[in-house]
Amino acid sequence: MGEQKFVLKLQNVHRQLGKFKIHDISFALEPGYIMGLVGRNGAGKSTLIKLILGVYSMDGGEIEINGISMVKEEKSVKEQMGYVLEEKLFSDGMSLIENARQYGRYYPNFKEDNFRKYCEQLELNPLRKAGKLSKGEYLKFSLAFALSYNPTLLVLDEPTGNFDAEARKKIIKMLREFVADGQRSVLYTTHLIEELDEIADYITYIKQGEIIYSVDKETLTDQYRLIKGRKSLLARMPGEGVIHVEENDYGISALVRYDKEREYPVDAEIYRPTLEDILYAQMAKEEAHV
Amino acid sequence: MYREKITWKKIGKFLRYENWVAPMYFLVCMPSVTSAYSRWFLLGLGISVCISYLLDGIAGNELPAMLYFCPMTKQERRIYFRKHFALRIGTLFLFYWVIMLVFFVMGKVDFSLAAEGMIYLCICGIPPMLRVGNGLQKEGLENFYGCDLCGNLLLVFGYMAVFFLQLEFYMEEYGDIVALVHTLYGKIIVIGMLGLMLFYLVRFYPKVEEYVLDYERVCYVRSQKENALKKKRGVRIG
Repeated sequence: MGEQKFVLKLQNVHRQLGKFKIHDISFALEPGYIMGLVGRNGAGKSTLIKLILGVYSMDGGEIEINGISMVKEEKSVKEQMGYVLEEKLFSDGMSLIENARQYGRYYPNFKEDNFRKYCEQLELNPLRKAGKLSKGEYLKFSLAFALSYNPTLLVLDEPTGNFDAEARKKIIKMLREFVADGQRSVLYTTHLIEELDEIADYITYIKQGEIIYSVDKETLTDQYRLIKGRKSLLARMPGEGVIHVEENDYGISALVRYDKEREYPVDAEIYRPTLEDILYAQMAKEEAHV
Repeated sequence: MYREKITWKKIGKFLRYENWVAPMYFLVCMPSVTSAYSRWFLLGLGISVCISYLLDGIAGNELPAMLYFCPMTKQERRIYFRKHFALRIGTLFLFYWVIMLVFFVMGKVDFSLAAEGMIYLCICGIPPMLRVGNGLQKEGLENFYGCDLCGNLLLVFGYMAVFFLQLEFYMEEYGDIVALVHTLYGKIIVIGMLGLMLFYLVRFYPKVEEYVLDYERVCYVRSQKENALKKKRGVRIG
């Protein structure tokens, strides 16, 4: 049996940035999948993205893109990566097409026709100046540029937060098409966790610079149950497995770690949670402990 | 054709841009110099710095962050920065000498004065350029965030140097500092100097503190503020 291929592989990546530390992070992303990187603000998502993109150097560990080391072959690794970040990276004074030509030179697979095609899909005028784009349009432009050189890994940091519902749908569709050939992958962070249910195949949860888990969506949702019922249910809930309880006027809704052996109260309604339920509960729990 | 609407808000934003402090300083100080020669060379200096900044503003001559992400070797990236830096400084010097040449033909300045002006130009013109150019000195890519701070500090030192050189001018013309302070222009200079120092203290001191605390922490504080805002709007936080 041949060795398993990964588009992205991190092994014991660590980095100290002032008082903040990224601790021995390891995870891998197979080709053809979309991974959502989630965590509260300040958890280290953007730092990790910058480490992956080679903007921050590592104190130790290894980052590989398609088996090529970022440290040893930064140039060829970067040729294979597309990125959409919140920061403004392009030259404001140049038009979109001028920017694309200027920076496309560094990517051997860049094709101007591709860029124009994606601009059309995203309803962007390639002759407009980059400095005059709104935040949402700027992200669309970054995405059009990133797709135009056909990378194998697309890294997106909060890509859809500034889009309206229609644009968000369109971009999600484009990302699905991007991974459809089974050769390419997407890693992205988002504030909108309900979006992950729709698109992510894998979830990597980061907390204070540490990976808490990195699993596929099915495995994750299988590990929990959402229990709903009257408030009196609260007293009969299994103690140690409860992640988060939400109370309202009508009753309670609790996320619990699922245990097949355990008996749950007969009057409780038990559901398989969505990804949103799980992540929301975990973040709320985290927030309560801060 | 797309045409940007000019509003008072945009004009205000443009005028607030800190780089305009240097050319404004020159234009305000210029009449205070009684010697005709000094006046002309300060005028030339002011115009060339203005043109250089204006070009920066129009052409968007900031060093694009994209360079840190593009596939390049460290050597290639360093070469690019050097070219960028050389281009910016070259533009400033070119304009200065063209203006001085015009003044020379008009009989307003001589070359020794123009050469002296060059020293002033280096002191007041280069630091702002270093704000973006000093990234070239560093190899660590994360210095993208740090180089701005170094540049700002150099800018402050640059202005201080210009002030002291300006004082030297006055000493030559008025003999002592007390006499200078009693003149109208002397008052302008002293108030301007104190004002500018205060401006930088207020404008950059918090920034220095932010950078000392490190970039990521700054982002965290910012995002906490954004969170509070999002919570108000009912957006779920990730």
